[in-house]
Amino acid sequence: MVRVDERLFSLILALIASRHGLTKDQILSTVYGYAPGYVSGSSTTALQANASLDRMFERDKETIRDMGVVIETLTQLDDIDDNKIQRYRIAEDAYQLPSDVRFTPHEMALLELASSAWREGSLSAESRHALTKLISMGVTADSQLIGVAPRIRVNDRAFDALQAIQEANGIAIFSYIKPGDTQARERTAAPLGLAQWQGNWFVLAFDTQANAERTFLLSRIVSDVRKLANKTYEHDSEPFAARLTMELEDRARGSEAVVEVAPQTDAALRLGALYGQAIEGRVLVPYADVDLLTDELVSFGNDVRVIAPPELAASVIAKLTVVLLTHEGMVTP
Amino acid sequence: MTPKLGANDRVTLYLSLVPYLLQHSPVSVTEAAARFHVSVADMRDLVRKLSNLGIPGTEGYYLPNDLFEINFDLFEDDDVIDLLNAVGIEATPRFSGTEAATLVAGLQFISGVVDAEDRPSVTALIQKIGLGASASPANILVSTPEPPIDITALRHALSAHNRVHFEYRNARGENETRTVSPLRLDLIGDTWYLRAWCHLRDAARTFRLDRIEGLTETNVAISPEHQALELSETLFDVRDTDLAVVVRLAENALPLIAEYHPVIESAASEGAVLATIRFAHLTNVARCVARYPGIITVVEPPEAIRAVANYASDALNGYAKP
Repeated sequence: MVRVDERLFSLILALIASRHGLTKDQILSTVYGYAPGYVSGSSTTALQANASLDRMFERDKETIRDMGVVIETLTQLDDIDDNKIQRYRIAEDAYQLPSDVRFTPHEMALLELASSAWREGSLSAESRHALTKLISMGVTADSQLIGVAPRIRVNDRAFDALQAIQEANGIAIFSYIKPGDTQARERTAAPLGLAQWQGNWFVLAFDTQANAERTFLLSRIVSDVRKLANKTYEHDSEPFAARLTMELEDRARGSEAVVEVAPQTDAALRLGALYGQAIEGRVLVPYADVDLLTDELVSFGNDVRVIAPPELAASVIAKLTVVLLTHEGMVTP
Repeated sequence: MTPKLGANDRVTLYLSLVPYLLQHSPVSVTEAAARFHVSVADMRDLVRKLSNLGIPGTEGYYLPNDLFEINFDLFEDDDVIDLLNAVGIEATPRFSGTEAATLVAGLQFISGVVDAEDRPSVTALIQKIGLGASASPANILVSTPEPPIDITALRHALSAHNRVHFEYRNARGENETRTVSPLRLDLIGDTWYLRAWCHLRDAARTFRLDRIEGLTETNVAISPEHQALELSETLFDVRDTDLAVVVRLAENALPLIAEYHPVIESAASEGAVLATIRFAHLTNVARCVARYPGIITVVEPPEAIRAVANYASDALNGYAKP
């Protein structure tokens, strides 16, 4: 058996090397990894054997595209029987990094650090591949960036699935608890952009039931995220993730909570460092999402007390009450 | 350190190895392996396989001239790679849209960590990566976390290898003056930590940057022994004196508390599990549980359950009863 990676690599080489492209039959009958299984002629055995090679080729094409290699399809009229014939080719220009994309040793150090920030989830493999390609340019990083270790958190289990569905222009289906609700509801939405903002992942998606764009917080997705079979959502490419980030920032600018902070506590120091020192014992905290701020505030216990807005106070009280109810009476005093 | 290579990893390595070798061969297997962050055994295997691969010639057969060729004597005898003939590819391939997106998002993320003078280069790099992608970079963004305190002095101390001192306030509001040998600045999600050797405790410690006040660089150099210290992957080392707390939670909620390194003890009922987490203080137990009410419940020991209940009722006391 020829290994998958050897077959994929051989396919890329063959498609680059051929100036006018190769027909599917040429590929299946000559390229390493396909050729031994190819049966010429039009017998039933030949058709069956070649049909399975054909499916393999279709999958390989997708895999190669996902790796950043663009396969062109050229359609031309066959002179003899007037059939349309498709030829496949990889154009060198589209394959290789443009000549003006070159990096200095210092830029290389920055890129290595950027790539090393992905150590969790499926994107860590993608960032490793990007780094492998960078390394092939032979530029040695200067090592001025030792002493820092950044790591992007991807601890929402919905992330990998949403990212894959977004890349495929697919539609996702998942259960979601809306802030303020206690019950999860099933949502179908096409993910358009993923953004991490203040440590939390959000997705901007087109909700196909509401027929409108919606923002979801990944940590409120409570089920596995599945892809709707055979459905895609075609849309123009836009910087959705950038727009999502801007919307979150706008929202945070528009709402400010008033929090009373006990002096000389951990909360006073940390909230002060983030949002400015307390004035008359109160800190103004901008927020984009009541639930997320609730989470942050409950972990300060009685060092903090919400003064405004009322819905934030109610949300903090509700959370603390559940904590109390699930723990008090568990032990005999 | 080097993970097992999958098919996609290997294809990317073949595509990248060829342009590298065209410029740099002959090169020792060890050096090439180190460059590409793969094991020496994997590098040898890739090179050996590469010499069997190539393009189908005009007749549809793979003839010797259509294959990659390496100097086999040099390879087998001296462990040196010398690429004599390459076919099909010469240059570095473009990034895929997703690969480019990881670099772009990574650059945005680190722009808060790097020197201020590097920030313009980061912005320029983001543009350049976009030009080098075969599809527009996938829609993934990570916003830049700003440090909670001024880190100029700390960055200087890290590169000059000098000790620093500062006031540190722990979770219970107690202040202490610490003198530490700073080793690394960790940015995890949006939280900043200083990894250091603490001269007060005489042990490796992790400090949250937002609990540090009045940080000053000293002119005392960090000893070579402390400089060479290997930092653990986990931020907080478990100590013998830590309290083992058993919690019950839904199995699919485990990622929420991954940073606490829960150890799964047994399955409870209906998709729930019992897990042990080690905490330095009872306060920390309550803080962790309060973030996930109804999702995580402390099962034992009794003093931890009581601490959580008291924590909640103390905090609730601040609000008037309706």
